Amino acid sequence: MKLSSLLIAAALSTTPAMAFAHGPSVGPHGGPVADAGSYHAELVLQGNDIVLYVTDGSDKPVDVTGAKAEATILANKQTQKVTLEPAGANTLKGPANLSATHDGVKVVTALTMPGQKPVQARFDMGHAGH
Amino acid sequence: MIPRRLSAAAMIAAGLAAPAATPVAAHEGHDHGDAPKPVIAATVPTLEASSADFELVAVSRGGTLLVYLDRFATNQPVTGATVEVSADGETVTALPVSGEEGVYRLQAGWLSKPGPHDLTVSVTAADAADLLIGTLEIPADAQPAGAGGGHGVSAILGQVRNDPGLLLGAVMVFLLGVLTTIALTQRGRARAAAGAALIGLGLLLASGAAFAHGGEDHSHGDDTKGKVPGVAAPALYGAPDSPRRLPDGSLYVPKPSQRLLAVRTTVAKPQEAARTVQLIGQVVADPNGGGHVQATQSGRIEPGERGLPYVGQRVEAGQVLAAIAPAVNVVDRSGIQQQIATVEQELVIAESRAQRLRKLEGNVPQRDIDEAEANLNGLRKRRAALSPTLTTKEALRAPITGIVTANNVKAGQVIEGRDQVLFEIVDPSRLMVEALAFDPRVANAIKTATAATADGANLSLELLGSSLALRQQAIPLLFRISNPPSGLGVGQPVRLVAQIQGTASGIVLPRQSVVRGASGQPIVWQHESPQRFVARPVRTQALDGNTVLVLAGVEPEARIVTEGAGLLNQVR
Repeated sequence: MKLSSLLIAAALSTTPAMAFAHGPSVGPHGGPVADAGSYHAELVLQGNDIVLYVTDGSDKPVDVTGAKAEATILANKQTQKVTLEPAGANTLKGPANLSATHDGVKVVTALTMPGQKPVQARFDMGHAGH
Repeated sequence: MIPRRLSAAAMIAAGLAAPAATPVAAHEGHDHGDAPKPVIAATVPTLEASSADFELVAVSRGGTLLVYLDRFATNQPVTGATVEVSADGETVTALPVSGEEGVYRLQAGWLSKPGPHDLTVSVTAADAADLLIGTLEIPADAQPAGAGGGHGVSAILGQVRNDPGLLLGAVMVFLLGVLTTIALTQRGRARAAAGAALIGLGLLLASGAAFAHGGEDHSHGDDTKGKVPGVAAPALYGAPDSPRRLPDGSLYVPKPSQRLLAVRTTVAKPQEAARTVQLIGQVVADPNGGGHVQATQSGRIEPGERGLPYVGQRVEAGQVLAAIAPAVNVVDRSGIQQQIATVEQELVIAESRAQRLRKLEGNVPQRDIDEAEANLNGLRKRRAALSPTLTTKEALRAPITGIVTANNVKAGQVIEGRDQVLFEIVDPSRLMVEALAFDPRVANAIKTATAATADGANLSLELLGSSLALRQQAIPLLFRISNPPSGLGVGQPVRLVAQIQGTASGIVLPRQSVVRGASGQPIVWQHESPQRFVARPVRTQALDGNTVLVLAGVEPEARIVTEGAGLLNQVR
């Protein structure tokens, strides 16, 4: 019985931890990849747009129609909030006000898939090559 | 019985800081849940988050959120940062708690709403800025804790931190609690619970939270051995939790306790370092920097102009330390006096003869006059040589400049023989260290060395040479101390760490990082997550007096406790 109670506790406690635990991994679009709930999300800065690619756990694209996302961007010690809209297939896109230097930019996204609760993900764009 | 355990297990998980908001869909690819971490039962809703720069622990107490902000690498509290917490679409700026370093407080409505809250914390410090995320789970029964408690907590908190006496008292009480627990665990679990309560009391005082929490049942020591300690704690909302050892041997140390123990860490970085050997040695005086004062004849000691030197006095080279009035026995004395009388008698005769001859100059041969003059001069010199033998004293002078280390005489003492050492003088700037090497290959391979004394002073040494003759089957090695600190004494034992040829790869840590584990093996404490420390058994090699090289047992990039490791080791 002791074992079973511990197992239940372990099962309940092994929930997704924070994204940084995975270390930096780079997605197919050249941006950092983080866990967002049961999904994987890749964030790319394209000029002044920020683009979020959503895949499932096995990196297959997920249709994001009806989803919404909000990004909090920290650049040059200033935070700004950007709403990301679905932009076809598995991408969400939104305009951000980024200065020329993208060094040390940190982004937190709150992704709300249709009919689900918002899930957070954290991206460190520090040395992503932009 | 089973439902009770199930509910207990559920409570373990419910009390967790781990974000449990999202549905966990198991999927292949990689493991979203990380390696299963040991269960840490926090007694209050807690959020832990960290990034490359910061480590953050947020604790909810009633309607107040306390944010502890530290540097990720060093565990040093971050002061003067701007902390903004966003949750449920509401952004609140946390204000620094006065009198506390790196603690920020905020009040928000959502803190009273049960359920998971996704937090985004924006941190802007002087040199770095970051965004941190995490989920704070507010349990359904959390509201009753007094909403106005925050002010009371901070006031007492500030008072305790500002008053060194109170702080010291808090530390003492805390340690007392720890020790009491150790003493009591030997005698049954009921007493262990009492000891644990004592720790709790110490912590209560230490962190300044004044919530009275008597009456609750800390069922630490009940019959379910597999149960995690503190599982019954969810009933304890509002009371701070105490540092404790978890069943897997790791430590749960809440942030307030870490601040109290001043726990600091360093990030392990592999380095190449010279291989070393340890030797035992002692401080000796340089033959050119040490001197003995001895008498050449027997006699009576008389103080010099400035009195007899005392031990510890600084003397200059050539300074008269004492004088010896020669001891002449009666027979010798009368012989000398007899000689003086004879010489004086002859002197009188010779003087009158010489005078007479000088008056007759020209009438007597010049040869006679010269003879009489020469005889007179010779007699005068004899008398001059004889007369002071009874009164002349021998001055004892300091052979070198230095400190008097031994004084074996007193005024008026009669000394016999020449072997007696009257004073010893050592030049403290020219001390040496002599060490014994039992392995000839080691003796030949040593290039440089450092030494540490028992009181922690560090000496850098330079090899002068090694003896060709063995002493007690060992080779004596002589080192010069490059920077002799004050207070070093001849004969003081020192521990030498000598660098020999070849290098070893490992992680350089301060000596205080390495402590002894329960079974006596050397361990270091790794700061694994914000409030959890794990013991890592290590294999070490001394690098110099203050640092060690960890050859195995620590992964690169791990955060290892440097300051406060000894105190962490006391947590039971």
